[in-house]
Amino acid sequence: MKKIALSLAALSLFAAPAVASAQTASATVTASATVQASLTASTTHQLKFGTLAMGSSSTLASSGASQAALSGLSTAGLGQIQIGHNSNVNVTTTVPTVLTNSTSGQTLGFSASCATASTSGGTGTAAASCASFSFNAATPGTVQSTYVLVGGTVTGNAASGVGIFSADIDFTFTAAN
Amino acid sequence: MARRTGTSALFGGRGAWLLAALLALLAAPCPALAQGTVSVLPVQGLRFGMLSTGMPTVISPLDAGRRATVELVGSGHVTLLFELPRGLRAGADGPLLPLRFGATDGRVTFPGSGTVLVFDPAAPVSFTLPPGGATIWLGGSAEPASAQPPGAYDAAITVHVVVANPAT
Repeated sequence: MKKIALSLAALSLFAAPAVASAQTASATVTASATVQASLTASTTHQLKFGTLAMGSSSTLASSGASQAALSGLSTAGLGQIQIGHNSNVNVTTTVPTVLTNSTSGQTLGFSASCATASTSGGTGTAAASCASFSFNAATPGTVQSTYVLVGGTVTGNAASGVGIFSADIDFTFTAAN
Repeated sequence: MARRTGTSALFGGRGAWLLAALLALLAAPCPALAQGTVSVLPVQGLRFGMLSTGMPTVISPLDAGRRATVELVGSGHVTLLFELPRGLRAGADGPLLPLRFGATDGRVTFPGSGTVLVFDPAAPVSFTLPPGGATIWLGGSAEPASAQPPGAYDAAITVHVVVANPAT
């Protein structure tokens, strides 16, 4: 009888309802996304020094109270680029050191100055250097316009003769998130 | 004929074997507990990629390149619970990019059988993990606002696995 009782006891260990227990484990994965910036740029005015006397220099200030008007079809004035953006923007610029007469090959010295304004032709805030500067989005995420005003100085040189002197100033705008 | 006593039933012949087996059951690591151990292995995050402002993007749980993937290895009866973020953030205190998880954005696949279990990641889901393990896939939707600030956004999705052992 004891043998049978012992066997039943042993079997009951296997047959009895299990005592509940639980283990836990966890893992984490990352969800990610990049919201791309909206960025457009268009030149609205060219930088024009107009007609200068041979050998004379001219400066167009891009910022502050002395700011010159924007250039018209035939009038001297600042260059301007309109940038539509919804994030901060970094700007790099390649500024030529001379303006070149494409007919004679003669050159005039040149340097540029840059400023930013929130309205077309508005009072500009000077950039420390045209070569590299930045401006912010007042309301990140909302597309807004900022205007880059471009002035500069052309250095007269009578030896360069007469004619049309020109050069390209290349701007690169990069959205900074 | 000799008559076995209680003592001889416990310590001699088959009784001794039975006692040894009982002691072994009490002393040895429980086999059921060992079988109920499950490892959770993160494989891939939920990748929404490049989004445009105001343009919702949906990732299907069947999108192998972008869905989140987690592997379960082991066996036992398991319950999955997801901690789903309200949205992605650009930095700790940055703007929120809302996320949404639908009722069919969760999948559990069992490689051994080819069975697929569709589930709502917002609710717990339970199943028995076969020896071959299982793979969890998670999709979802990102809903950037029209004025969503540009930038890189992320958030953590945590899956908790509770393993219920049938016996200890």
